Order: sequence, then C-alpha cells, then structure tokens
Amino acid sequence: MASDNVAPEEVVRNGGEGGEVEDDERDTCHIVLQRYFLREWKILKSLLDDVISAGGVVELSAVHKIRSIMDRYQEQSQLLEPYLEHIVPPLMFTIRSKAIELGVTSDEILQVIKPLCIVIYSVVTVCGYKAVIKFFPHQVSDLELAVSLLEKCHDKDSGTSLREESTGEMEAKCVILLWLSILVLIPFDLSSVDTSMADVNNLDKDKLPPLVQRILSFSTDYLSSSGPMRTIAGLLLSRLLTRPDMSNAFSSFTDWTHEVLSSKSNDIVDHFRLLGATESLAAIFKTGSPRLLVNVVPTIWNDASSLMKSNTATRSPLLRKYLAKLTQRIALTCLPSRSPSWRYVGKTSTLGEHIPSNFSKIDQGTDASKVSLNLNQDEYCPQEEDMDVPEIVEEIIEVLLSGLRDTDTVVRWSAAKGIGRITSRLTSTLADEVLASVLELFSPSEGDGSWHGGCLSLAELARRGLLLPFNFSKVVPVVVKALHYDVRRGPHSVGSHVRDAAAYVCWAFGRAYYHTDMRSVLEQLAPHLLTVACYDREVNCRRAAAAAFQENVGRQGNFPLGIDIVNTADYFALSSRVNSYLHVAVGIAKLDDNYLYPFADELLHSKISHWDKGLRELATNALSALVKFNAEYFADVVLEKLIPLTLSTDLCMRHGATLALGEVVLALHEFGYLLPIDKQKQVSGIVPAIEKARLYRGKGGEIMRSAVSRFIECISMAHVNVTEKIKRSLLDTLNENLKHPNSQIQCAAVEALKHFIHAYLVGLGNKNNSGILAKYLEQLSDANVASRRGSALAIGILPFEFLANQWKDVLLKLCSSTEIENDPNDRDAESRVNAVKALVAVCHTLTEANEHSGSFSGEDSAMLFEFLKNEVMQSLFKALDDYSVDKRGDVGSWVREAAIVGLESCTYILCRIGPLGLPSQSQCTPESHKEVNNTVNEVHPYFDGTLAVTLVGSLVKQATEKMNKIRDLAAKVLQRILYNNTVFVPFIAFREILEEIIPQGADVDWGEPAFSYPLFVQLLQLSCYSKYVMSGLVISIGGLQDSLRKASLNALLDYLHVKEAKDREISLSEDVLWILENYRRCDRVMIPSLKTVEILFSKKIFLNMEAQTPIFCSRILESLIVELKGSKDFSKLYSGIAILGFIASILDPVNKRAFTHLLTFLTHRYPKIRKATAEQVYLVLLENGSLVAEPKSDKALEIIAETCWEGDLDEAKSKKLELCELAGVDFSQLPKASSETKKSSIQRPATVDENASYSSLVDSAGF
Amino acid sequence: MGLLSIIRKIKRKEKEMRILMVGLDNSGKTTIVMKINGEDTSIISPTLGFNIKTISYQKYTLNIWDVGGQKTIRSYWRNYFEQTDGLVWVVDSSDLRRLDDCKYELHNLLKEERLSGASLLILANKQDIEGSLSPDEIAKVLDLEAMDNSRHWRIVGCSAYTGEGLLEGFDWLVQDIASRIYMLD
Ligand SMILES: Nc1nc2c(ncn2[C@@H]2O[C@H](COP(=O)(O)OP(=O)(O)OP(=O)(O)O)[C@@H](O)[C@H]2O)c(=O)[nH]1
Ligand SMILES: [Mg+2]
Repeated sequence: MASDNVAPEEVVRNGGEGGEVEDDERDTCHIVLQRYFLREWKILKSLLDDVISAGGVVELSAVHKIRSIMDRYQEQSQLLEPYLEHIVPPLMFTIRSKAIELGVTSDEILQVIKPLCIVIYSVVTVCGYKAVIKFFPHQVSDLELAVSLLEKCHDKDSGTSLREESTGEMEAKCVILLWLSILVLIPFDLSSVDTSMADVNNLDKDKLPPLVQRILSFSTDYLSSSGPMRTIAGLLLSRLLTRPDMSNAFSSFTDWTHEVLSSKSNDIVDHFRLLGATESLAAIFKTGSPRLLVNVVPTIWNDASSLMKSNTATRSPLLRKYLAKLTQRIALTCLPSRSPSWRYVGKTSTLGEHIPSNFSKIDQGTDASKVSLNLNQDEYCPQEEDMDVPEIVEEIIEVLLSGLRDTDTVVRWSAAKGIGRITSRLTSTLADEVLASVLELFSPSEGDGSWHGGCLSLAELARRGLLLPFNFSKVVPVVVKALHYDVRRGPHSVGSHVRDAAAYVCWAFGRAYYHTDMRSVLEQLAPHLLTVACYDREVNCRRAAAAAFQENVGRQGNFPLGIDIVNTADYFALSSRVNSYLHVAVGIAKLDDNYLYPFADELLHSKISHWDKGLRELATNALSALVKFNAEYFADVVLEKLIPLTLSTDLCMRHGATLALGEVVLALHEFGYLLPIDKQKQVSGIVPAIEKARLYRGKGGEIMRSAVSRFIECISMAHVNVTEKIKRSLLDTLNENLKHPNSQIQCAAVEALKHFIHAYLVGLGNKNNSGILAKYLEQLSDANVASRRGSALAIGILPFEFLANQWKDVLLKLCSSTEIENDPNDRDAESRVNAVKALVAVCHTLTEANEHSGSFSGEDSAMLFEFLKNEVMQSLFKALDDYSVDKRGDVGSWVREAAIVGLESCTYILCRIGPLGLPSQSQCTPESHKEVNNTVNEVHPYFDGTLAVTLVGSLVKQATEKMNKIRDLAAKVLQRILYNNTVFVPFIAFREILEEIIPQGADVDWGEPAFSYPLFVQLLQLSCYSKYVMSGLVISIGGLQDSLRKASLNALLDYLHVKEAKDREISLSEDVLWILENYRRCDRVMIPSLKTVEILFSKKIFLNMEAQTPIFCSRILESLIVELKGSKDFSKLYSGIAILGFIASILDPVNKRAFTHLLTFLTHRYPKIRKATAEQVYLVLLENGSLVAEPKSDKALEIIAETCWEGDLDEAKSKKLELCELAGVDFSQLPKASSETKKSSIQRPATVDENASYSSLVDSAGF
Repeated sequence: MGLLSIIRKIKRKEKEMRILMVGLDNSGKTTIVMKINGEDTSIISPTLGFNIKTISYQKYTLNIWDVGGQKTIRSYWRNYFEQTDGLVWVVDSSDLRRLDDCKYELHNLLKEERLSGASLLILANKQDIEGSLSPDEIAKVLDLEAMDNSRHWRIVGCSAYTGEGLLEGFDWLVQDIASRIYMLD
C-alpha cells in the first residue's frame, strides 16, 4: 500500500554536475503541478461525472486518462486528498448499485466493476489505502454483497498477472478486499449479519458463520498471491480475526501460520505464502489487543526467530522487513505501554495558552496533555524504575540491532523504528544498553549499511527523547565520523547515504534538544557540518549538512557568525559543486578563520586524492583559493605535507598532490608571499623526482603528464628559482609531452611552455633560442602526426625573440604545413588546424612586437608585410578550400574554421599598418576612404581591392554552405570586419549594400537557415560576389539535408520572383556555368550543383531566358558529357538524366543533342539507370512531339513501355537501336556514355584534386 | 528508501508544519512569535538573521521561522529537509509611510516559484495603535485581490501587545495548511 509500504526509492547518487541540477528542476516541476492541479481537477471531474451518470465506464480511454492524471501525483498525494470525497464515494456507490441491479452472480457485473476498480485502485496507489477507505460505504448489508462479489472475481481467476493488470481483475480484487477490511469492523455479531444462518437456528455456537468462513477462505488464498492482494488480505484478516467474536478463528489461523512459518519449503508459491503469513501476523500484532496476543507470542516468536536465521530470509529483503515489523510488535505486546519519566522533553509551548482567551474563539481542551508533559522537563536524570523485561524482549532487541546492519535500507529503517519504539518503554538503564549497542555499529569493521542503520536509529532515539544529553560525549564523536564516511570500493566509493543520514542526525538533534543543551554540541559539529556543506561531492549531502547547520543556528539564537554563514551556504548556492568549492567555502573561510584549518585539512586529506579526477582538480583550485587567508600556514604546513605526496604510490594522491602543490605555489606568489629559498629548491625538484620515479608509466601516465605540465606552468608563473640543469630537464619534459598523441596533454604542455619560456628562457641569447626553434621547425614535417601537431602549437606561442631572425623561414614552413599533405597516408587535419592557428599567432607576435618596440628595420618590416599579404593570406584562402573528410566526417571544417578566424586577424594586421610599416596614425573614417580612392594606397600599402573582394567573397561562400556552425562563424566574422571600431577595413566593394544586408550589432544566430539565406542571396546581384554566393548555395540547395535545402531553395526562388527576375536569372545562369566549369569532375561540388540545376529546371528556372536558354543548355550539356562519363555515382547520374530530359523537352535544336545523349543511357551498365532513363525518354517524347515524328512516336512509346530495361543488357541494346532509328539518330555518332569502354577521346579535365577522398573518385572515374 | 522520503513520512505523521514569518523590519514579527510562545515581549531587539521556535497547536507542531526584515531572506525559503508550508506576512498598520515598500516587497516575495504552494496569512499588526489602518484598508493598499487566484490567503488584524487576532490568524493558517497537506481526520 502506498502509504505504508513505499517501494524502495533508491536515491540516485551519480553526482555528476548534470545530476546536480536535476534536483532543482524536480522541485520546479512539483511547483508547476501544484499550480495546475485545479485545472486537472476539472478534467478529472468531468471524466468522473460521465462515468457515474452512465453507471459505468463507457470508454476505456477515460480510465487511462484518469490514471495518467493520478500517476502524476504519486509524490504529491496531499494535493489529491481534499478531492477524495468527491472521487471515491460516487464510484463505490456505482459499484454497489450495479451489483444489486445486475446481481452478483451475473458475468456482466465483472465487466462493469473492473474499469471502476482500476480508477479507485489508482487513487489507492497514490494516496494510500488509509486515506481512501474512509470514503468507502459501510452498511451492514454491504458485507454479504462484497463477499459474493469477491467470490465472483475469485472464481473467474484466470490468465497471467500481466493480463490481470490490464483488464482490471487485480484491481477489482484489491478494491473489494479493501472494502471488506472496513466492512468487517461492523459492531454487530457477524453471525447476526449472515443471512444464510437465518433459517438454521444457531445450531452450533462454536462453528463459524458461513460468511466468515467464506472470507477466511479466499483471504488465506490471497496470502499466497504475488500481487498486492496479499498485503490487503493480511490487513483484512488482521481486522477480522482480532474481533472479540473471532477467537476460534484466530487460533486456527495462528495454527495455520505456524505451519507455514515452520515449513522448510523453497517453492516459489510457498515463498509468497510465507510472506503473506508473516505480513498478516505483523498486521494482527498491530491491531490486536495484548490480551488476545499474549498466548500466541511464544510460538510465533519461536517461528519468527528461526525463520530469521534461515536462507529464505537471507535471500528476501521483503521477508526480513516483515519479520522486523512482526518481531518489534511482539516485543511491544510484552511491554507495558507508557511513556517513561526519564524521557527528554524539549521546551515547546502551545499556541493559544498565552493569549487572553477572550480573544480566542477556539476550544483548547485538546492541548492540555502537552502542557502537563512540559512540567516534567527537569527530570533529565535517569530515574530507575522497577521493571521486569521479559527475555523475549531482549532477544528481539538483539534481532533488531542486527536488522540495523541489514544490506537493505527498508529493513534498516524498519529496525530503527523498532528500536525507538521498544526503547521508549524501557528503563533508562536498559535504554543506555541499547544505545551502547547502537554505538557499536560505528566501527571500522562494520559495513556502510551498519553506519547508515546506526545513524537512523540515533536520529530515531533523539526524536523520541530517548537519547539523554549526558550521552552526547559518546554520541557526537561517532556522528562526526559518520559525517565524513567515505570508503573506496574499486574505482568509486560508497558512503554518501551515510553522510546524508549523519546530517539528518544533526538536524534531528537540533529539533529535539533545548538550545542550551545543544550549544556545546553544535560547537563541535559546526566545522564538520560546514566542511560537508562545502566540499561533499554529492549535492544532497552538501544541502543536508547546510540544513542541519541552519536548523541548529536558528535555534541557538546567537551562534557566532551563524547567520552570515547560513546566508552564504544556502540551498541554492550549494547546488553547483564548483560554486560550493570556490565561492561558498571561500566566503565562509573569510568570515571566520576558525573554519580555514578544517577546510584545508579536508581538501588535503580527502579531496585532492579523491577517485573522481574532476573533483581532485577542483579541490586543488579550492585549496589555492584559501591560501590568501593564511599564506604562512600554507607555505609551511601545507607545502610540507604536499611535497612527499607527489611521489605517492597511489595515482590519485600523487596526481592531486602535484596539481595542488603547483596551485598553492602560484597562489602564494600571487598573494605576494616570497617562498624561502630552500622551499623553492624543494619545489623545483619535484618534476625530476617524478620522472626519476618513472611515474609516467602505466595507466596513470597520461594523467600525470597533464598534471606535471600544469605544475611547470604554475612554478613558471610564480618565478620559482630553478637551476640550469633543471631548466633543461623541464624543457625536455614539456617537449616530450608536446609530442603526446593525446591532445589534452599537448594543450597542457603548450600552455606550460608559454609561461616556461617567458620565465626562464627569454633573454638567454640567440643560440639557445634558435636551437629550440629549429627543432620545432624540423618537427613540422615529422612523420609522426602528434609531433607535427605539437610543434605547430609550440611555434604558435614562441615569443618575438625566438622568431625574429628567421621569420621568413618560420612563415614559409607554416604556410606549407597548412596545405593538404601530398601523401594520403600523411594527411592529418589536426596538424593543419594547428598550423593555421600557429601561422596566425606568429604573424601576431611578429607584428605586435614590431609595433611596440620597432625591432625590425623598415626594410624588414616592409618585407614582412608584403609576405603577409601575398603568402599568408593566400595560404589562408587556400585553407578555406579544405574539404577533407575521413571516417570522423568533415574534418576539413576544422581547418576552415581556423582559417576564417585567421583571415579576420590577419586582415586587421594588414589594415592597421601605415606606409612606413608603422601603425597608421590616422584613424581613418569610412568617409575619408570613399572620397580618395586612389590616394589611400599610400595609407594602406598592404591591402587592396582584390584582396578585399576575395576576403568578403570567401566568407560569403562559407556563410552559405551546409554546416550551421561554419555559416554562423563566417557571418559573424564578416560582420566584425564591416564594423570594426579600431581597424577600418578599406576597399570593400559595395560596402553599403553589405552593411544593409548584415546589420550591425544584432546578436543573431546566423546558423539559422531561414534567417540567413534570404539575406545572403541578395548578394547575387553583385557581380563581384555572386559566384562566391552561388558556390555556397549549390552545396546547400543540392545537399542532402532536407530542412537546409528547403530554406536555401526558398530564399533563392524568392530572390528570383521579383520584377528584375529576368536579369537576375540570366546572371545566375552564368554563375552556375562558372561553377560547373570551375569544379569539373569534383564530385563534392558537382553532385549538388547538378542537383541544383535539376531542381531549378523543375521550377521552370533557366528555361525561359529567350536567347540565353539555348546557350545555357548547350553549355550544360557539354559539362554533363564530361561529368557523367564513367560516373558511378547514382545521384549524379540521376540528376544528369533528369537534366537531359529537361533540355530535350525544350523547343530548340539543342534538344536533339540532349535527347541523343539521353538515349545512350538506355544501355548504361547499371540496370537502375537504364530504367530511369527509359522513364525519362518516355516523358520527353510525350512532352516534345518534334523529336520523333507523329506516326513513329506511338511505336517509340510502345517500345519504351514494353521493354524490360533493367533486364538483359543485350535486349536493351537492340531496343535502343530501334529507338534510334525511329528518332533518326545516327547511333554511330552517339557518344559512348556508359563506362563499358575505357577508350575516350575526351581529354582529362583539370580536376580539382582536393584530397584523399577525391583521389579515389578520380581513380574510379575511368580515365 | 531514500532519507528524504523517510523524513517526509515522519513529517506527515508528526503533523509538522514549517511557517515563515516575514515582513519589513520593525513590523512586529518577533513580538508576535514571543507573544504566542509566552515569552516576555517588553524587550525585543531587531532580528539580524532568523530564529526558529517550535510551538504546538492543536495536534500540529509548528516550526516557526522568524526572519529578520533587514536581511536578504532567500536562504530561508527552503532547505534540504523541508519546504515552506505557510507564510505569515506581518504589516505594521501604523507605519503608513512604508506601506508602498511593504506592498512592493510582498509582491516580490510571492513571485518566488518555490513559495507558490504556501498558504499566506497577512497580519495587520499594531491595531492597538491609534490611527492605524484597518485590515480592509491594508488589503486595499497592498492590492491583495490582484494575487494569483491559486494562492490561499487571508488578512487578519492583530496586536502583538494584546494578543488580539493572533489566534484567529494562526488558526486559519494551520487549518488551511492542514487541508492541503494532511487529511482532516
Ligand atoms: N504598539 C505596538 N507595538 C508593537 C506591536 N508589535 C510590535 N510592536 C513594536 O514594534 C517594534 C518592532 O517589533 P519587532 O518584533 O522587533 O519587529 P520585527 O518585525 O521582528 O523586526 P525585525 O526583526 O527587525 O524584522 C518593537 O518595538 C515592538 O515593541 C503591536 O502590536 N503594537
Ligand atoms: Mg524580529
């Protein structure tokens, strides 16, 4: 039952940052539900009204709807409860009246009640049976009716449990059993209710009334059920059998349970019966009076205790839970029920008693008991009372104590409650013994379950006032340990549930004890609670600890800085781990440095060596964030602790310690604390020591490499003194890491290298520097890709001094590294990406240092800028043509991305420079450029109109291609170039129009096709950009992504549907031809281009351009002849055939050529192509009567329609000949289209061999 | 079984409620809590943070959080173990100058999603002072009718000095919370 037996609800503790947010979201979701329940109630109400007025469910869908609404309130049942009285009674009355109307024996009745019961039962699962059965009807006459009804269901028992659920059988049984469970409480002798006994004159007084026998019979049956009927039947039996008139039935029932409990069967059905019997006994012991129960206690305890030790119990948590319940209730039966005088009573007053009653209109009689209890509050000291505790109780306490250790939470919780209940009836001496046993659970040899069970029972004892303050000295240290409980299990650890529960204990203490009693306890607990609140890995533990702290502070009234800490560590602030570590903890340490040391200790001892790598890293940052509060302490104590740990045998430990040491050293430096020389020496020796210990090897090697790089970065930034020898060794280390195939390690190394060079190598003289540079340059063409990638990265961060002498060499090498490698085996997109980035970075370094210090002579400087303009920019443009693909997809896009960014930077560099190679002084306004176009060359010697067009054009092309990300980037870069505040980019043709299309500012998503294409197609009007735009557009229009194709095509069609359409169409046709001719045999572009032409033809574009149409068509035809020859690509062939069809259909002599060419595909080697061609030829013939004259055309159509073109090739050939004859085509003139033959008269076109993927294509193209 | 569901069950069983006392500083929140708790109300200083008092009422246990009006109170809206069941907004009915402030702060607070399930009792305090506005007038000034209609609310005039109105107000609040959270049995 929902309220009594909540299914184990395992709290998911995956703890990742993602999981942390979830908690907040769930809260919000609840709130939303709360808000909207009123609306749902309306729906629910109308559904219910329909059902009730129809006297049953007409449409099953209504049931499902109701159920799905109910399900949403599974955790919010309180919202439903006020409505129960409107939901339950009408449904139950319908059941009753239908049963009377149709008769309980009719089969029809089941069909009526089942759907109704599904609804009622869904309410039960949400709100719990206790809340629902209050609204069940309970007239005396209902009893027989319900019994008969259930028998009817019982008889009909059929099918599997799965089917039961869907048809409502199970629900009907449950609901009627529940109904019976209140009906059997009627206060009359049951024999007087039994109509079957009316005629028989109470013959046998000892014999049970038949009605009762019937109930007993099916109820005991249900005790073996696997479904929820078992529990309800137990409930029903407990109520029936504990009636005063049922003592005979009671004893025969306990005889039966004795049999069940003591049988040693392993049968699965018997197992359910065992559960049912135990459960029903537990229910009976809850309801029955001690007088009734005391006689059966010995037998039942006997059975229960041996069952507890059986294998069956070991395997079944559910059985153990029922046994825990049963046994604790047995114990309670044996103890006098009273509240002990030694109990701790907190000071609670009662609202109303202090307010003059003439204002109060409410009766306060009910509060009297509480007031009297309060009078006892001074009796903390245990008072011995005389009490005989039966032996059985001691045994049961033992059993429950071991239940606290159970592997299953449900059992532990049940046991904890039992311990609490029983202890509340013991004397204080005995209670102390119980407490002592509970405390034994907190031992290192016990498992996490014991610790958790221990916490639960401590909280339970405190809540009930059974843990007296004089025990605090024993209890508090144990709770503190539990707050930090975290035990490594393989790669992870367990214990968050223990910590959570320990925080709960602290919270419960805050509630249970008067604040003066808690004061000293809180002083002990506070640092631990705050440590957990800031640094626990799991959000639930952080929040639990904070809540416990808050509760205690709120009751103390004047806890030092309590309020400020509560405000800092609030529920919301703790939701993110990063925020907790870096802000909350720092905020608290700042408020009160008493917390600094516990915080630092926690990080040092538990967190920097945590199994979660991310957490370790975060912990090192958290540690360094504390340095400023006591630099001395960190420099002495913390460093002293960390240094030896860097060589620990535990990977997590040495990784964390290495990182932490670096961060702390850096933080000390930033704080202005000078590390003593001997400490510096120690620190500088760490890396060589790690290497000497060979700690890069094995599993953790990669982790250590990154950490070491970061460490070197930190000590470089902190300018720690290092000897020459160590310098060399550190440089070697970094160079080694630079060559590592793992890109994260490379990045860490290059970051470190940047600072290392700056701190230790700059200013050492050329020889040294050029040696380093030479090595990296050499590695740019290394066979090992990792080496290439790393060296490019390294060159990118080298300072001016390293580059100046050989700048040209460096730039040349980098330029060539950005090109696609000749040897397909050498190709590596990442190397090229890094080269592009390094190229741009080096340009920056060279020009920037030059601007500031003028280290280049004027001549050198001019050469450098010439080089940038002529070589570097060209390399970057070329990189934009990197469309390499490999098994990861469009890896070329990484290169293009880097190139787009690089072009932007280099453009600024070039435009910033005045005639003398110095930054141009005149901050040129746009106006000054427009006026004097011919004089600006003097102002901008290294930038011109051609470059500007290429730049804008290339960006526009990228901005219309198929990847959202690239389009967005290209558009944004273009926008920045147009509106740059510091550097004006001159010579941009049609700047005004560009500025209109790409407005300033607006932070929009240019990757959104429906937004960007309509803008960019406008550029087709500008002849200098139109080819670029169209080259991008064909990729999108002819590509495979549907949504993109639609958006781009629509934009183009809209562009063409205006007054000036004719001109636009003509210039567009020229651009298309340009593309076809420019990208000959380059399928990446060609396939989508042909597709685009096909699509545009189908929209009647290009077909009505008067004189231009035949010219266009014949040039398309020429290009098709080249493209389709030997092609194996189906989409290309299909598009080609379709295009040929379109051309063949127009009324111009060119149609004949197209038709002739089309016919050749009738004998293509691919059957599918032959078939597609035949279909196309058929359409063409229908469309264009001039190709085959009237009488012959019918014959031609017949041939096409009746030949099986996908079939035999020879047949196809002969049919084609026939067609050719009919059409008057001289077949000997037909170009050989199919790839049957390799002889070709066509010259090998200049293919754009872009990369590996195209080379295979060229191979297959059949030249 | 997760710890939270355990706590939720206990809370229901023990019929606990969490009530937040809020309002501008000097409106009389602490005095009200002291009064109903039977403590001396003659010396009261401004609350700098918050105070928790447990008071029983009928069969319910009220955990009353008295939150100082001067500090940001976001941190008390909820914690890990409990949500807020009831809000008591205390108004100094004699402080006419600050009623605009009061209105602004109240509506601001009610925007908070996490408090949207809570019942709201508005106490028009200091009715004993001559010239103070009546509850009806306060309701108008605070524009209470404009509140989201899913909110359960009520305004009651009271005086923390005499105790007048306090029982009536808390009685409504407790019954309203109970009707949402616990079955009236
Ligand atoms: N005349 C009168 N004075 C009151 C009443 N209630 C409170 N006061 C006075 O108003 C002043 C402020 O009362 P507090 O209870 O401290 O107000 P508070 O809302 O807790 O203020 P903060 O804690 O600062 O937010 C005190 O001087 C009280 O004596 C009342 O009903 N009548
Ligand atoms: Mg106050």
